[in-house]
Amino acid sequence: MNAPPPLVRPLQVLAVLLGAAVIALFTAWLRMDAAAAPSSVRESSAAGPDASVTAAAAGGAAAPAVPAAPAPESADRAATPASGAERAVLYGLVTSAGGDAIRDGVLWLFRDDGAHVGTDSLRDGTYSFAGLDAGRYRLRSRIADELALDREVDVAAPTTRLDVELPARWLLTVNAVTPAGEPLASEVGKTMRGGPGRLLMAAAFAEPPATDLPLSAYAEFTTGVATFRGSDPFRMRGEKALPRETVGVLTMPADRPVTVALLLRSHIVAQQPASPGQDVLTFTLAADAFLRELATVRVRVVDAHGAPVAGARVALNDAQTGGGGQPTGDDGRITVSHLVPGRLDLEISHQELRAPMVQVDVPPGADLDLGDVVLAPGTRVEVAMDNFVGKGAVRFNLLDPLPPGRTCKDGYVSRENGATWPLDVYPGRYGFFAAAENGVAIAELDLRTPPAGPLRFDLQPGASLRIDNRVGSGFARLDLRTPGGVVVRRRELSGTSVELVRVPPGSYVAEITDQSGAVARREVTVAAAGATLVVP
Amino acid sequence: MVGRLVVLCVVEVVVAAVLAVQVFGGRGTAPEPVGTALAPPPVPEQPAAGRAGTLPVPSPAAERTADAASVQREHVAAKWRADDPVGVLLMGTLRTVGGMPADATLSLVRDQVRKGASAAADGGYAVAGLSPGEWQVTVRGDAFVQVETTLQLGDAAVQQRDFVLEPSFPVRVVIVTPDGADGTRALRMALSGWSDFHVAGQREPFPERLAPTDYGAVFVGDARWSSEMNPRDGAAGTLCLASLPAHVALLQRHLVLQQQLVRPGQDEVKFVVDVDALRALAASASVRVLDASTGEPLAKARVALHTSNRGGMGNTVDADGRAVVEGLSPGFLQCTIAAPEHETFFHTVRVAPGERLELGDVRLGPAEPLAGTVLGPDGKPAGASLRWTELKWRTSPAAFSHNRSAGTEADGSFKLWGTGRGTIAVQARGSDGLVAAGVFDNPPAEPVVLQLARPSVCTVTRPPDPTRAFTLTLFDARGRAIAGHALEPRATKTTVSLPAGEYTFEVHDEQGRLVQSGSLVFGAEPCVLEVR
Repeated sequence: MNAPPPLVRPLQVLAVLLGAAVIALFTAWLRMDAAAAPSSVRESSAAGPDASVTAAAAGGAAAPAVPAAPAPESADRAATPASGAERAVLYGLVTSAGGDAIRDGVLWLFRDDGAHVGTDSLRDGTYSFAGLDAGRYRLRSRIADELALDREVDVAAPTTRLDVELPARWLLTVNAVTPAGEPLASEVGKTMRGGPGRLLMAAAFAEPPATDLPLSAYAEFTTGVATFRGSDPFRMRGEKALPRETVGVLTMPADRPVTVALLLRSHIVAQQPASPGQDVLTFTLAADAFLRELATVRVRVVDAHGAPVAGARVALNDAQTGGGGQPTGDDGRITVSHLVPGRLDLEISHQELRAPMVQVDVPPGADLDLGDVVLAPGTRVEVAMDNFVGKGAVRFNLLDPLPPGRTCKDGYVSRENGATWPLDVYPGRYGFFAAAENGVAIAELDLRTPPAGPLRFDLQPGASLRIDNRVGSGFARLDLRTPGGVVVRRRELSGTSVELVRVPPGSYVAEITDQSGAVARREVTVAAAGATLVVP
Repeated sequence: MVGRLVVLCVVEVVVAAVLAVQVFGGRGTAPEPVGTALAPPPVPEQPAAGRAGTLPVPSPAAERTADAASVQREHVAAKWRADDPVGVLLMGTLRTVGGMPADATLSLVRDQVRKGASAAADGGYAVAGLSPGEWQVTVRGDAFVQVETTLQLGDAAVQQRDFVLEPSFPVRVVIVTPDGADGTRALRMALSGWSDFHVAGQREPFPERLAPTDYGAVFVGDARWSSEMNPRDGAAGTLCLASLPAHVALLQRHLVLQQQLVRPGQDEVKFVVDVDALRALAASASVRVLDASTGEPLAKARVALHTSNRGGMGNTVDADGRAVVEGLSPGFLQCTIAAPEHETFFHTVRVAPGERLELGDVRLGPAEPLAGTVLGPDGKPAGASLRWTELKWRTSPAAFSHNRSAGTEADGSFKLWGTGRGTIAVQARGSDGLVAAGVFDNPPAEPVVLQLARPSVCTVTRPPDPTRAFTLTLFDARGRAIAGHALEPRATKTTVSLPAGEYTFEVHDEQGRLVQSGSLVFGAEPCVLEVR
């Protein structure tokens, strides 16, 4: 065996080292290219039809067509954040079925677990959400005269572009006139001060509603298969003004006939069928017949000794309206007429005396005598929110038993209006639910006498209660309380949505009223790990 | 064998060299010209060397990203496309000098396009729908020094810009009366029609008096004032100063009531206000309201004077038609006189401290709503919001009213409430920013039609002197005022939009003196007015 020449061994070592260097450099080169190619190419590359298919498939929902997005990979690479963990941006364009950019609307982005991530306004059709973790989200919209968007989207870093073309929809203009052909709202307005305004609305149902709907506490009542845009008297811009005889415009899928109901808040005044392709539906109703659907409430306001209280202002407002009212006479009596049926707040204001915070069920056409309402000197208490972090608020409600037909109304003070807030409430037992970014708390207090100092809440992290709304085209009212009656959440639900509420772990009672008015009570136990409440 | 090994080594050296250039070459190349894909350069994440440097400067980390990207950009960079409404996506971060996410908002303005975004929890932001060119950028957050800069966007479809925000210096502001009571509450009790105190801060001392405004506060200086909604024990709010030392002023609209120097380390500033002395500054106005037809006093007429951010029913006249409104806040006030079934008087008046202003006789004729129609560019009825100014009441240079508006009906028709006989300047604004303007006699000899068109923009600049206020009036071809704008000190550069055409203009100062006049051609490029 011959010995190798003296240069062979060093050359072999050098060749191996150089080979290793080449492999290392080649690997680095490959990684560099891989890093440069964005993972969002699936949706943001100019891949045309494929991008559309992939986006829809990823969503797993009835996804509208996604046009080819023209942001190629190099742009994404250039936009790689300069700092920290790589976060994603979701952006794109929302257009109508005709391809016009949406110029007025709101988009919401939710995490897969239902947590709200962000809100963006559509002004020129474009939207963007930054600071996202890669993953699955749900994009929802509220756009006048368009079907609501509700779809899943998979977001990848650094940028994911998703252009959405909204599906074709059926717009149905709903009019209401008198037999003489006059606009119903105007004719009614001659008797009812201000007319029914936005409380006269329309809804569309897949099947004719068999019964009236439960009384609603809101001015903007939503149910059925369509979204509704009414004539807003406070809208100062005239771009979308509606004719006086028009109650509003229903927007719905054009896949089936519907029954359209003319509503006074949630009360069905009349209903008619309508078929896809129909542009206008007109209800003809005499103003007198319409006025008979309105209600009257009588009340006598007295003090703790039973003496009439003159000059107290009495108003029955919904949860989205306040103020107004009429003064009681010398006998403490007042009659409030032309009330639109609903679950209304009985608001009685007096310079020195306070009234219990209650809601009253006011059915259509009713003439209700509430009897005596006793006012009493208020209990002064200061709510301290100086330990609240971020946006926080305290809700409170009366816990004392109430007469039939009345429920407690909850009050609300926000941290945004100051670190402390003075309350002057009707004496009684109260429940408080405090929620801020740094925790939640529930308390029950006897405020028949003033507390020694400000009310300060010991906030604890709490647990997450996921309210999974699957009401769809129906309607449900949710009233979530502690077993002691402290109101935690009140909602009127339709459509589908997910809401996360942080509450102290423990037992709760969910009272759910369905579209027919039937009430179901469910116990909800919220463990430290959280819980889910599916409605209905 | 040796020869083959030598060849192998040479080949490996060559391959390694080529790969090394590919992998490392980008970092050593000359910087990419600004505007290719990342324009302007990203900003630092590290603390700035001095507080004076509030504007972002390039950071090594961000530059690495830019450079690494530039290697690829030369052949694959996505360009902005004019036919893509998504345009340029601008993204980046809003962070503190310590690298923490900043709770802040970013706004971009170019011509009359406004875009904006709020920082996400991680400080990230993104704005779509931009286009290449120069944008005015403002970044603001409660605890930070406001950043105002220009941003030159290039033609890349996605661009990045990070902003580093410097913390401001918060000082607690206490306002008390000489006897220690809460000063803000005392002011509210004594002079209910007045605005709350405003507090401002800046590096330089404040002048004794600022330019008057019709608003409830004068926004001056570079500090951020957050007032307590429910002040108690004198705690009126927090002023976040951009730098220290700084001068802090207590303002009542344009009146500089007091000022103090706040030094480094100081976290509270205290003002002692004498409400009785303020009461002496309150003005009053008296007027007699008559029926223009009969000359008789108009019963039930109401007279109100208030700032443009407030409202109210005002005072009812007495049997002689006379009303005296007391306790007025000095400065410009909007005077409204209304009576049932009559036209409404509306004009902005100037009230000096302690003045007893006599407005004389105001004669109101019958209400005659000016009716008309708004058409779109295609000649079809269109929706719009309308604002108007009755020129017969405008007896001195004043900005046109923005407090009254009306909307069109579904058929494009409109009626202007509160109007009477006389000449009325009307402006309409429709969807997509289309505008129309015209001056009409009421009752009109022919149908009133306003046809919407794309607005033409004129840029107006004014000196930053906070003691000067200017009013710009534009006139149509017949010499009738068609638009009136207040040029406030805080906006040294603003834009005015009107349908294309030639208009003459006059600029008056805060004393009502004519300081400039000439003509402007809206639609010409550029249309610029420099108020001197």
